[in-house]
Amino acid sequence: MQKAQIELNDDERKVLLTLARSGAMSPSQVSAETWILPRDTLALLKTLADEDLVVMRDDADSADGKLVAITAQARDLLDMGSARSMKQMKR
Amino acid sequence: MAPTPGAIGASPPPDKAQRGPGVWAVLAVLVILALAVFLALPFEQMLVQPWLPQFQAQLRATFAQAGPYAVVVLLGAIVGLAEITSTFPNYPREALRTTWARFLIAVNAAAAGLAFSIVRAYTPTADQLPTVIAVGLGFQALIRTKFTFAKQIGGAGNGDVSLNLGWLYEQFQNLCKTQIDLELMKGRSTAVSSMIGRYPSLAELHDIATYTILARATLTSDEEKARLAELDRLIDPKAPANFARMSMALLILENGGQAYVDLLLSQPMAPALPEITPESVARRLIEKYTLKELIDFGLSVPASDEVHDWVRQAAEPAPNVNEASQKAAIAYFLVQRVGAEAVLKELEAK
Repeated sequence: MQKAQIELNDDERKVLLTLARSGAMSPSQVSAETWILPRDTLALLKTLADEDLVVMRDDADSADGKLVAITAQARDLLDMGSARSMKQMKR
Repeated sequence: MAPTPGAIGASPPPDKAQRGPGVWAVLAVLVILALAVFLALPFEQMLVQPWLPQFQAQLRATFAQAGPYAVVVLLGAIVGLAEITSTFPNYPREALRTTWARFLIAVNAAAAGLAFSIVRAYTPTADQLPTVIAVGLGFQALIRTKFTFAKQIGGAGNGDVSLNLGWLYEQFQNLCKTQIDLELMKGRSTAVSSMIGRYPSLAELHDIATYTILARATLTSDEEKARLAELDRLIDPKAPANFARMSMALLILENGGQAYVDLLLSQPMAPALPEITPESVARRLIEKYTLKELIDFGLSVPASDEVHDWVRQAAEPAPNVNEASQKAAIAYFLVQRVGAEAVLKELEAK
């Protein structure tokens, strides 16, 4: 999937920024960090996983049995987004 | 969420094994300096014992004779050393400590010394400096070279007439490479097992691996991306958890090196009775309460209306989310928004 084609909404961006800042965590921790309700978080994470922006796998150590991590592609996307924002601010 | 990488910056005091090579290096420099001063002093103009200028003259003559050999041997050893470090870029220090690496360096050095002595025997009157340079560099190139006398036109090279002096050295080099790799395997396996024992959770290993890649100063942007992409593949949901752990520990070792892994392993273990951490308080909430009890607890904790509303909404049944996930989310949320200590106080009061 081409990076340029992926448009992130606010919640998706919030989740990716949280994972980029705080590292791998469980979906429940993502909910707690972002104020996104658990039912919406899981759906959102599945969408992001389908777009290869996060990796979600089973994890016995996690309170809810899952672990989510940001991918290199998502880090790229966030970097591109911040570079674009800086350009717009300069204009 | 693993807090581990934050502790990486602190360096432990060097132990005896780490101090050892440093002490030897200082001693070697001191001995060389003392020798240089002894050879340079004008004893013949000084009032000293008569045997001292004689001994100095003998020593000077010995050095004049052995000096060229030392240079040639040193050049041979440097070439061997460079071959090993470039073959094992992720573990250069560890590779150099193996028996076969020392053997390869010694063979290179000894062969260069032998070649020089043969050349000197056939050309005793030749100027020493050009001979040292020619043998020191030329011999190393010669034993790694393939001379082609006649080349088949348009062929694949099978019909060429050639003398491959490099073949023998290549066989020896391959033998050394394999043996060094096998010696390193033992160390790698120990390091990976220790890493998994020390950091058993996937989240911790993933965070350390990410930090290790991002913290490397010499990686280009493309190399960094490629390694992060490799890390993504290691956390593949289809891979068994233990395989993912081992692969991540190996990735940390390959990117950070043995000294970095030793540093990670030397970090103090968590105390037997865990201190109050957001994680431990959230776990206690999850273990103690059912979902309904956790909602009641959450609504009784002094917090803003926004927080209470979120707790209520998070507990509403939904088809795609189970009770365990709802409990975990509410527990982490309360700890995050109200504070671990305040939640713990309420928890102990009830």
